[in-house]
Amino acid sequence: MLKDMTLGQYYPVDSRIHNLDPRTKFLISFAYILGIFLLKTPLQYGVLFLGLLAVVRLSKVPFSFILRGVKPILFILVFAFVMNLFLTPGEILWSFWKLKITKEGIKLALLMVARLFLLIMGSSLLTLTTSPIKLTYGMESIFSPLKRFGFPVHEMSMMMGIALRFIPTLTAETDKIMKAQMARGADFETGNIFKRARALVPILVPLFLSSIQRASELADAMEARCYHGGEGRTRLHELIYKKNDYLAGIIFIVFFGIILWLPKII
Amino acid sequence: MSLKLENVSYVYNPDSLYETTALSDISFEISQGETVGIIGHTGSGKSTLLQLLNGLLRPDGGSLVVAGTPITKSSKNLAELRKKVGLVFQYPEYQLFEESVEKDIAFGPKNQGLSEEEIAIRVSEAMALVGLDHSYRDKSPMELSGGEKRRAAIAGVLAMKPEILMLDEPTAGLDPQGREKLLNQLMGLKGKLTLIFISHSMEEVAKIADRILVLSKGTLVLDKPVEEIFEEEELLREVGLDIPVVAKLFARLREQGCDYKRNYYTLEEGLKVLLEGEDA
Ligand SMILES: Nc1ncnc2c1ncn2[C@@H]1O[C@H](COP(=O)(O)OP(=O)(O)OP(=O)(O)O)[C@@H](O)[C@H]1O
Ligand SMILES: [Mg+2]
Repeated sequence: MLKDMTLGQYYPVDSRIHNLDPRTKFLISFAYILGIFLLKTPLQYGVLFLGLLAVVRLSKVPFSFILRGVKPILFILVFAFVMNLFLTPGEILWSFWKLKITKEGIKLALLMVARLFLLIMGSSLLTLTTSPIKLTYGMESIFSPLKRFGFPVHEMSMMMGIALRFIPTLTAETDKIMKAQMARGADFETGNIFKRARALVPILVPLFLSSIQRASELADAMEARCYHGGEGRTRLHELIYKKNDYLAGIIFIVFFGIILWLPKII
Repeated sequence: MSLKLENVSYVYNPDSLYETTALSDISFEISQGETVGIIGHTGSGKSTLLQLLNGLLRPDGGSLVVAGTPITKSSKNLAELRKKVGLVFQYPEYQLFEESVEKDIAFGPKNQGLSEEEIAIRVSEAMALVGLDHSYRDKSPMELSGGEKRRAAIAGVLAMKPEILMLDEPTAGLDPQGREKLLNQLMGLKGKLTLIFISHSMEEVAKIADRILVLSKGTLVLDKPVEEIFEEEELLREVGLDIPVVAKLFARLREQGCDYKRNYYTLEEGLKVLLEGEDA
């Protein structure tokens, strides 16, 4: 029932992209997101898209799987396209009643969609190729300088890790409770908004109860294994940059450098 | 005829990395009033099968008719069907959500659109059936013990007066006494409705069911009346199941040359035969 949630989902296969250090992927993704906003010409977007396709290929995640992650935000893409198409002033190509399509509008709308699309595809590639655990280790390591200012970096990343870890568990649990109540004749699909909101009570109450219980059990289990925060804690797998990480960084910088230079060359 | 399956199959997460074929090519019929036990190793597809029979999952292949309603991949509005087919889930305790046991049991009948008086009668009857007395009415479900919660949850389904009642491992996690009590209450329902239940214990199935379906890795490997099923010791062992101790004992006695008129598999019968020589 709760399918199609590829955004933020991990795709467990073995690939060069999966094996990169999470910090490398994190930093590159961050630079990539900032970088997208520097691009201006269609050529630049095209080349970046090709580059991204190459990375997708390397990651062994099927392209169709990534596209499924874009589906939920299709609405936003369409909305951005339509708004930009009609609301950009400039040289009028076509007009009807109060709606005007301008040359600048078309250009802007297309760029906007390309931008959003590349943004989402790129960032979902990060979560698809990095397990939640590695992702939080990476974040903790990147933000660890903030510890000096008293920011609870370890606790935050632990919280995020646990939250990510429990998304599938809670999804399965919700599905189970929904089915059990449907078997008792509960109806979640018809009626007005108030009726539907009320229909959620039989799901939410058991879900909250079991989540609270689960949380307290988890806390006990962690304490029983002597967890007491990040102080002096070592890891089984320390994060170390390897050859491929440097290589990935260099390739990214060179590739993005070329893209930024493109309009000046051609 | 209560329900009929022909070559039914079901796949979880089709076309993805996590694709699992949970059931393939399942065919059987169950007639009105039968009591059928479903048994199989963990992960053999038992729970999936029950959810298909209740229309909570739609089959990916084959045809499926339950209580006169066909269920297909595109079936909509199976609420009517679910009024006739009650399903008690594995560990049903988590489905309790109301502030009192009474209200929680009334949830199903209320969804059926019954009148207040009718609901009150149904709740009382269901509570009596599972052995919860009046003092439990106003208790919060959260205050009950595990076994009492289980019984309240089962009462919640019984109160809907289904034509077909399905239970997914109703005795899992109960203590021996609670298990015995619940089994006796299920025995009491025999014949009054079509009863289908899942269990991990051969002893339990042998005690209650008239007929046993054995699932293994998503296929139906055996479908026989209880009296005959334990002759298949080899096959059962192959799919990771054991036969009741009493059935085993009589099989060995036969090997030793003792002759009995029929198969025995419950403790009560076995004792009668061995101690009182009642072989008929
Ligand atoms: N929601 C689900 N998503 C994906 N796969 C599932 C899901 N539920 C069950 N499966 C898979 O389908 C197969 C059959 O599962 P099912 O729950 O029907 O087994 P079962 O016979 O009830 O086992 P048990 O005795 O442990 O309850 C298993 O391989 C299981 O991993
Ligand atoms: Mg099961």
